[in-house]
Amino acid sequence: MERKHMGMNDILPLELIHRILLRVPAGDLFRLRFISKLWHSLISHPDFAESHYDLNSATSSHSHFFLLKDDTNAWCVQLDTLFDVAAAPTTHKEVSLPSREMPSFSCSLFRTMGSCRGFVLLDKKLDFLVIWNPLTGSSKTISYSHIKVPRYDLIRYGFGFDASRDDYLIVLSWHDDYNQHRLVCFSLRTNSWINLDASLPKYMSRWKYQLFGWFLHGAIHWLCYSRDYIDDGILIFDLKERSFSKISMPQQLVGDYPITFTLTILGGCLALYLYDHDNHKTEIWVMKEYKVPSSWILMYEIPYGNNVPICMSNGSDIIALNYTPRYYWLRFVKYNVSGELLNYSPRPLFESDYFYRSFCVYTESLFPFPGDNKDRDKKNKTGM
Amino acid sequence: MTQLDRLSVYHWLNAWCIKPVGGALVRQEPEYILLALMGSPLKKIMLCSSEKEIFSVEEQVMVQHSVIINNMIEDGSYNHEESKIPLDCVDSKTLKKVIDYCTHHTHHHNDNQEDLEAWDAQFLNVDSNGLYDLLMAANYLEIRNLLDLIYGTIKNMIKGKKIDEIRRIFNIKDHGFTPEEEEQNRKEYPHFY
Repeated sequence: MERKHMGMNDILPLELIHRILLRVPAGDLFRLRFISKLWHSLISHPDFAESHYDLNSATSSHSHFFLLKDDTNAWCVQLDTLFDVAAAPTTHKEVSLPSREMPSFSCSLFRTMGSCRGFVLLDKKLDFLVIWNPLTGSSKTISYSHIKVPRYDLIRYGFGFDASRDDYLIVLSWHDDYNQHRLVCFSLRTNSWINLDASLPKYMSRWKYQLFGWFLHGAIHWLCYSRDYIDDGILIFDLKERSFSKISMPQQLVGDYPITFTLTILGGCLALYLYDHDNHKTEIWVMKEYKVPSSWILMYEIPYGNNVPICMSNGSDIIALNYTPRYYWLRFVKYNVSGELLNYSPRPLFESDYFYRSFCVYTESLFPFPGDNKDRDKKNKTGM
Repeated sequence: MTQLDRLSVYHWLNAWCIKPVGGALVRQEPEYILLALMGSPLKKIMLCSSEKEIFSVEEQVMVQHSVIINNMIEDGSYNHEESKIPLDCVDSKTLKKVIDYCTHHTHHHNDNQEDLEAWDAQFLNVDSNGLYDLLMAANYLEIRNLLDLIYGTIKNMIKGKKIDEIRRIFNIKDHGFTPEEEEQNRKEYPHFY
């Protein structure tokens, strides 16, 4: 074949095409499976999703913002090109939530309960959970209406990945009718509920209000009170060991009860943010070294409140969700470490009156559910 | 003096090109000044393309960029006086461009980011085939920054584009799907195409 009739697939060795594809954003890869059979086999290979995720998850280019619009639709916003006017048409897209397989007895709307490896956890209060990958469309619905919670108590949720068992776990905790603290988790791989009451630590009395935990370094993290309310801390549930440990808050924040702080993850580190009403600013503390309490630093002081930090950008800038109370207009703002406003999107970008429970940040991935690859190969053979 | 120090001095002298001779300042070729100071010439190495054309290039330039060439020189398998490094998978046109890239980046490594990026952009202003040849050469010689640059460029050529356009850009004529499969894919995901 003459050179001018040859294309990329004929000229470049497989290894180089593979490396090129590893660097392409996940959002494009989903479409690129249909370029050619060769690309399809490279992208669909069981190890590809993992290699791609490892290479790309650290960079902000894969961070997406997910916001529920209503019970059937959501917005997905690409965060790294957020303020790039030229990229505007492609940064926001509206997606349809997976169709419900079971009728709902709950009259409440969906809530978001965090994300893990490209999967978003949606919750229909006290009824069922949905794990969904917005990019690939795969979803699983899990009913938990069998869990009975006393009227004014709340269930705490956690969602994470146990690498040692290649399994996604949804952890639920609540106080039952006898005021006993309960802990269960749902294993996606075995499709079963596991009782973890025995793992609950003795020193823990009540969890803080925050509904869901954050997954980082193979463990789920929640804010909690200690038994005598003296020191708050961050509760860590290791998914491999299935055991709890605790790390303390920044010393400067201990005992400041009128102030509510919220746990989040920024730039791959645990972070706490709080609104200082007296001084009209939002403080963001970051634990620079994982599990090292002395590494807590006050990294950002953003003027005014109504800012919920979403993610880090360019290594040290912070992107926050800014809301207008009363109207619940939402938009994004970007600040640098010195608290200077760098950029902002027009207001309102979205309108949502229940946004506290309806957004999360996720990283796009091509991961299938564990044990799904067999189905995938079958599909490939029938010409998918 | 280490190799790197010599290079820094070379650049400094290159900028001034002066040497004191009998009390006066005379313009001199940097190599000779270096020779006078260090007592040995600035080493050059010979690279031989697949078309048997020989390219002479500063050892420092190639050692800084190519892991393969650096290893060859370090483990002593390359003899300066006699040998040439045969690069049978790289043709003359591509080899010249690779040398061009490495030389520019060595000599201009102190330039500001924008200027370097602008130079890189015009350097990669080649057709697809030229791009593939450069990629394969950079991969063979293990030139990290050139590889990253080309990966980034190809990624940008792909990003956001639909399937038909990508097939056109990369000249992928035979996609390998059966007509039934292709039709099924197009029906299921029309917005991809």
